[in-house]
Amino acid sequence: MMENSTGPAQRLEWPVTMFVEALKDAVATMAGITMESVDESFLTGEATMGGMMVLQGDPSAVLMILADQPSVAAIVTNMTGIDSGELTIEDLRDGLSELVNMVAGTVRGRLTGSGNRFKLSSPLAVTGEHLAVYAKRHVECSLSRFVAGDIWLELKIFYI
Amino acid sequence: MKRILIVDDSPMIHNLLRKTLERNGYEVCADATNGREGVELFETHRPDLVFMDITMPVMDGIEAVKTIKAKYPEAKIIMLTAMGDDEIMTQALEAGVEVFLKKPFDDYKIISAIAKVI
Repeated sequence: MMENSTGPAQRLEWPVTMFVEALKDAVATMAGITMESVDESFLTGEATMGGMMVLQGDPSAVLMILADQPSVAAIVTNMTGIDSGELTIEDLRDGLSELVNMVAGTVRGRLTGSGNRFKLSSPLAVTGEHLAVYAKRHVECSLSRFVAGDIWLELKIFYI
Repeated sequence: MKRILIVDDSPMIHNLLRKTLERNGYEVCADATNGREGVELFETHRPDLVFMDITMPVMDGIEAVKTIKAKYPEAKIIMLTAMGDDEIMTQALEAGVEVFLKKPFDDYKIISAIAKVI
């Protein structure tokens, strides 16, 4: 098993701040919610939903946005105007997939012309209790956390 | 009232875009979830404008734009996508889209783009 390291990374070549800004911008623009960055040690709840995309480049990475279901529901409700009680799990998966798609696509666009490029997979969403990510060898990981009231999100980049 | 076709594989984007458009006095005449369905619904409804995603199953948005424009060169199409790099934008513009918009979007971005096209 490989644990996901959130300690000091040796090789964080993708500009994490661009992903952070893209995530904040996407949530603010689409949902009208201002997410504040918080320290990595800030205690969040347990993730039960994740949206992910593979960034194929040098290096390659997996981009994940993790949250609990109420946080995703609150964001999707603000995006669509649909009451959170009427949202299905498919709506939440779709919303989280779109969010990770926008974040990755925004960064890819902003890197145009920099020579620092990556290809993107289709976005995927996972759900379940005790959601965690494991790998067979040690990988470096950057972690950013955001809150807005009771809403929280984690943005992780695993270098694979 | 101007009639608009939405082509996107995300139900959330359909919901959000529909509300934005209806709030601003436009009618969404049809929803498609892939490029091929978008082409078919374009021929059925002949909308005033199409909002087209790029990455979709069955037929992607670039191919759908080429197909529509080949038969209906007067069609007005706004590409709305998260894939915002120059290479893809060039492909979209060469395919014939009038405006290339990057997600995320808000009302102003959408309505300003429509004003440029119809």
